[in-house]
Amino acid sequence: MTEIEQINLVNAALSGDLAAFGCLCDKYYSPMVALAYCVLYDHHLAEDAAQETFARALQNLRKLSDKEKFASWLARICRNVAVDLARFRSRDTKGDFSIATQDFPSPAAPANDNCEITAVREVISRLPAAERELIVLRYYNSMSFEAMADVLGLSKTVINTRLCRARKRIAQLLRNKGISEVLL
Amino acid sequence: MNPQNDKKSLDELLSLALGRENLKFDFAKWQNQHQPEIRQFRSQAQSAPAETAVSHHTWRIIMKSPITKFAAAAAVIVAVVLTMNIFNKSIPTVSAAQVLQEAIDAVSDIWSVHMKAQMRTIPHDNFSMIGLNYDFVPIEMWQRTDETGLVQWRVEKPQRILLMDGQTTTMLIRPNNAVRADEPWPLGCFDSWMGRLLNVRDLLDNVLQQAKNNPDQVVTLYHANTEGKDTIVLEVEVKADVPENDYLRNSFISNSDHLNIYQFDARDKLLDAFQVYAHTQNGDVLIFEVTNIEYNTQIADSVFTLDLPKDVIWYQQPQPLPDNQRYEKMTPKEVAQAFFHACSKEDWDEAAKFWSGSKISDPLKKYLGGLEIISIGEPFKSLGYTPHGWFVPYEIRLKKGPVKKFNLAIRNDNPAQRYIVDGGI
Repeated sequence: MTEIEQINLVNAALSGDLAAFGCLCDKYYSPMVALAYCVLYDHHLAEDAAQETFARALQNLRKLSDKEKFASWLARICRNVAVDLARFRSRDTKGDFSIATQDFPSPAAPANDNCEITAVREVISRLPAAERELIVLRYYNSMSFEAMADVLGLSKTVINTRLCRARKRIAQLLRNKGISEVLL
Repeated sequence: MNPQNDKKSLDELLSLALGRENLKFDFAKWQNQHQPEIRQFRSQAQSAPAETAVSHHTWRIIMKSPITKFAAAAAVIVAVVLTMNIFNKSIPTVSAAQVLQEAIDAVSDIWSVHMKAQMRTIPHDNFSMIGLNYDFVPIEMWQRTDETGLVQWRVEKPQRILLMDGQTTTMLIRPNNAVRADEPWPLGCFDSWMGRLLNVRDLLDNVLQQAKNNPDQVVTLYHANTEGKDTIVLEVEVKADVPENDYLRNSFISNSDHLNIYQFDARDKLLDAFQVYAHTQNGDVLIFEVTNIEYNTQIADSVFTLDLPKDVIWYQQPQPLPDNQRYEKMTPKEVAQAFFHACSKEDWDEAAKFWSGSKISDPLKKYLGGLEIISIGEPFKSLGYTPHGWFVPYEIRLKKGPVKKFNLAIRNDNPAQRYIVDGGI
């Protein structure tokens, strides 16, 4: 979908075309789930948050001042929805990736990789929020730089720089955990 | 030790740790569950027609930039360059000095620069002021050199504009405070350190001097390749120029231990991105980031003009009073006491004698008028502030009720040589 096509969809949605809004939801569902996951650490709740995000976006579509920034506007709503959900959810997961280990079935991974994967999740949980968001967006659903730039409202160059730094930090933290053999 | 394998390994681990299969959005089901929102949406659409015109604006990201300064810096620093192979192919045969020299060459024909950036700061406060927990504030900067060699530039954030139109230098602090110098001041004046990014040559000189003065400065150089784009990343560690326990620590970029990250396009050697991370006990915090750079594009003349409000209050240096000697003798603590006392009495003529501007604005009068002094503490100094300045702790109750506890900045390096309030309200 090109930028112009997307703006046309936003315009169509503003004119009352619900199907156009549906196309936008379809495009941004995965990124919104990933964003919500950064806050909630629960796949099911993250999907709930993404769907609630679309509901709030539909109600507030007329407040969108810059149609070119629809995605980053949606992302802001999503973060707020996720924070609200996190605040009110009954389950107490304390935002710890290691607690959510069972939420990531990895049948492809050999059993002896489990401790490494757990360590990676722990390391990710210790990243600054902005870097964690980048990493999750990138690896949750193999999101392209272009899509990430769209959602985060940043240039691909900035995404690249930040991601490089986040990966570097993860590598260092993993080395600190004694699993450098995997990386080096 | 193959860096390429390293990258794959990390990618694989992250994908295993986080990856999910494609998610599918069921729009029909969603519609069933959100009928009230859909009804509201449809009623809004019927009541107010939406725009149909597509206004498509393309922000061109040319990303060539002024990295010039680093070349010289690297020439000095090259001995401490560490070549890291973390992600992709290393560049063992290329020194930092070479990389930087190529970057300088790449920007040798730059006649205009337009940058967009964001910074954790306060919209109306000093340009260089930072706060680790502040939200990002957008910053925009322009510079151009015309055919005659006339240089003009502008640095702007939401509540503060600094313009050098080729003849004069003016800073407007919205809504109506301004200061003017009747000469073209250099980029970086009025605390606008980020403006220096616009001037490749000056930037180069600055970094060179830093490198000369800080031989232990740590510089890291490495290649990164992501989605087919080959970049060279230069990281420069900068030490804070104030001690850890200084009051102004982490209040300005220069007062923080920080990391400057410059990213060059490996193909054309132009600056691609620039970020500053402050090092804190709780980890690194991104405090400044250039988000877009354009080179050699036409900049509208209107950018280099400034429409000032009719009721502008021009800053003037405090001048000696008829009884200046009495005020000259006052200590910082006495000045704080006298200033707040005058505010409590709404004696604005007296309060103005301790004020750095030409007069106290109406909003400030409204804010401070009728206050009650709770306490005035013992003055202290900061290495991040002028040697002629002090901070005076205070606690006041404002007329509307809330209590404010903060530190008044006071200095006496002015023609009247009496202490005046410079900030901290």
